[in-house]
Amino acid sequence: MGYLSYTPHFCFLVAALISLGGRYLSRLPLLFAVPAAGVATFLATSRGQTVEPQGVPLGGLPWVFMVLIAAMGTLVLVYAGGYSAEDPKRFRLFSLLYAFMGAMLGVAQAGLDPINGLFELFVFWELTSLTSFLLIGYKQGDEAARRSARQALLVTALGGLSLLGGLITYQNEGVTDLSLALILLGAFTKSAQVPFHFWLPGAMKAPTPVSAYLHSATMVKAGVFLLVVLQPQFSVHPAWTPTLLVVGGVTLAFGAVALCRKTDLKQLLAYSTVASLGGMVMLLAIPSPLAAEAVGIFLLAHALYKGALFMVAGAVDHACGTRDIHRLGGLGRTMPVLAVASVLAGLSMFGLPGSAGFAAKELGSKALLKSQESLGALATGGLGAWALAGGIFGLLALMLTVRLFAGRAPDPDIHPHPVPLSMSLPPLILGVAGFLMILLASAGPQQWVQEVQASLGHPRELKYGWQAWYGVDAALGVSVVAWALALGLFALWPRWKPDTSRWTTAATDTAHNLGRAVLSVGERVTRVTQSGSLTNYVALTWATVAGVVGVVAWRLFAQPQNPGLNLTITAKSAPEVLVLIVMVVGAGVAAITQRRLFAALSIGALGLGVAVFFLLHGAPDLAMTQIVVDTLTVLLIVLVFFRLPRLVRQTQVWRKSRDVIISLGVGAAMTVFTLAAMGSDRPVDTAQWVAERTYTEAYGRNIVNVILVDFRGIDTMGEIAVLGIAAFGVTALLRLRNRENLPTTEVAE
Amino acid sequence: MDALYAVVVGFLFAIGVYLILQRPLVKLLLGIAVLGNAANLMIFVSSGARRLPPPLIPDGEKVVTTPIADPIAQALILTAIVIGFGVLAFAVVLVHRVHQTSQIDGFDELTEGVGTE
Repeated sequence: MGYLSYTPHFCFLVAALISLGGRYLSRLPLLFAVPAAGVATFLATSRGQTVEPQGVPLGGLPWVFMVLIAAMGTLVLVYAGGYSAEDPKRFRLFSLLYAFMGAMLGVAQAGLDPINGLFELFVFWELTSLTSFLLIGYKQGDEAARRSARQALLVTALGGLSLLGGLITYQNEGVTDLSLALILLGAFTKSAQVPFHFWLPGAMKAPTPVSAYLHSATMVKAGVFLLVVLQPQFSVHPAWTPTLLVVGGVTLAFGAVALCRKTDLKQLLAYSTVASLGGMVMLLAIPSPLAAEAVGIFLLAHALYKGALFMVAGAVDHACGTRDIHRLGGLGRTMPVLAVASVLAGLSMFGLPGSAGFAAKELGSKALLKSQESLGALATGGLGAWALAGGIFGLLALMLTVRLFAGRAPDPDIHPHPVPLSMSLPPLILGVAGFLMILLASAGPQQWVQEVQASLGHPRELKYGWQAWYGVDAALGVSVVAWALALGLFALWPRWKPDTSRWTTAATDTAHNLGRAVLSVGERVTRVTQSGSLTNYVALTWATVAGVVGVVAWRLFAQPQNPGLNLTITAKSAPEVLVLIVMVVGAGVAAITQRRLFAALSIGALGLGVAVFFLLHGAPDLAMTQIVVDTLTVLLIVLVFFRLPRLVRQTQVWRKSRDVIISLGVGAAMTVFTLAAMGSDRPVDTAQWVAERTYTEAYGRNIVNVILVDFRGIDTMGEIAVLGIAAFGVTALLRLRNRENLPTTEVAE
Repeated sequence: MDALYAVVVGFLFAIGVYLILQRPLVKLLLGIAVLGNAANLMIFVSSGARRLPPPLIPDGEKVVTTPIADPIAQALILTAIVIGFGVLAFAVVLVHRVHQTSQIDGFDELTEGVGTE
């Protein structure tokens, strides 16, 4: 099965095709879900097959995750077809969803062999951030959506950079404090752990299909995924377990408490997602096969009920035009299918025995209870957070079912219209699937959890697995506490309104202010460095050259080196001295003269001096070329100079002194550099190698010519190409004048 | 003698940079020409400028046994001379063109929008 490793590519291809031709199929939204369904089926049936080029069998959490990504993607695409019915450009949404799916499948696939595939993992990881940015900002006209998209990109891209740093450090040094910290930072930002959680509620500006897909089921789990696949390597670090336990536990409790204050359906779900992600991080920190079982069950159960509830929220919003929980109610009569879907998903979230959510809750409690011997107070704290969050999840489930669909509508101004089947069927499927996990456990779900166990480095042995009832024990006690809490809070609701707005906005505000501070510093730096004056830039560049070359040259020069420098000046070197004087005078006159003709001629003198210098030292070829080029240069300069403005003297004293200082600096640096180069050992091998082969292999007698046309023939061809391009440029610039009738400043000839 | 060469190379670099930093467009072109010569000379003296015979293989022989000037440096410089001329020619025409369309005397006046109206 050589095609197995190409599912990400296939999704990218579909994305490209949709963006090119999707508009023609806009009336057939269901068609857009077909490729995703195909990918899901293909992946689901391919377990154990070898994935090239990694050469590893498809399995473990990566396989489960890939199937989840493709299957959720299919349902989300069906749902998006109904959600975006009035959007004429909705094929853009479908295209972006496919691009995201490809990136996500890439992350999961790279996780098959995380150590050799670290950089594939990183590249796809960044792609998910980018596609997520585009999806959150899908409503381009909405300023708030753009801001949220930018914020999410900044946080996750920052995490991506940190991840890259961590991966590089890991490859060079193995598991160290630094590599662990950087990788954890990458995972925590992606999975919205406190204090990086704020981007996730902000991302709710995205269309609801996007929220259901990216921000509950798949992308935010990438951080958890990364932690799972790297766990076998990194869990040896002593800080691994405590850090994950504390961060995950705090996120779990924080997200749960923070959601109590929210009234927007999607915000409620977003904070509960933050909490759930915290729970997963906390559970995967516990080094036991039971905890691994809990992670697998929780991951699947959460994807099912949270995806369904997001879709319900989106459908309600679609039908009623609001997501404010206080204004909604009694919707069961107008949207019965949706109500059933919501109740099924809600029961799972509530943790009713027989549902997937109950299994997750029970196993989480069991894993935490059992780890108390080894982890002590951390596990007890985690259990407390688990029970609290369980209760608040139960409250949320009651609100999203009883409050939303039963009873009477509190706001007579809202006239809900029925929702299309394409919007109520996908959440219904997810809701039913939450119970099928238990009913059909042996047909697949048990095995999926075993795969997660395997990825966490444990044998594929389930102690409990998916069950409808786990008996009466301490874990059931935790569940009972959670249920009681949920019912109690629901009874108090809406009188009970703890003020958590300050906590929830604090992180957003801090991020916002930080961003503003960076921008203002950037503006200030730009104002200083980007003055708009070209000569200032050139001056800065040369000053840098002088500094860098000076330091390097000085260090070379200061090294003990061969004393082959010829420092004596005798009468025999009179010709050289004379030539040097010509050069110095030529250059000097060019620098100070106010007359253009003088300047041109003195440049010519300098060039001639160089030519004679070449001639004196055994380089007749150079001398001849130099004389020809020098003549052409003088002609060129004379021809053009008289069409250019006259030379004026630099009058500003500070600028003049700046120029003099920089030039002297460059000159001094170059002098030292030349001395260092002259004094260092020169490898003569190349010259000897060439000299030996010039006649015997290339049949030439002029060694320089042979080097140019033979040993470095391709180089010379490149050089000819450069000259050709320059000639084209010159011709084009000169001809431009004839075509446009631009004013010229030519001096009358 | 070598120290003197190095000082002259440094002097040429200094003059070239000084010319480039000046405001008039013409001086920029002069600076490019001087810098080209300075760089070539630098490579040449770095390879040990001595009064040696040119790198040629005498008639009737297959290899050269007597000391010769360094052919590698010469090959590099030969390329550099020609490329340097190409750069200068392009710069001359470009400067001419800039002046023609925008009537400016120095690059500091060359900001966005000049010459495009």
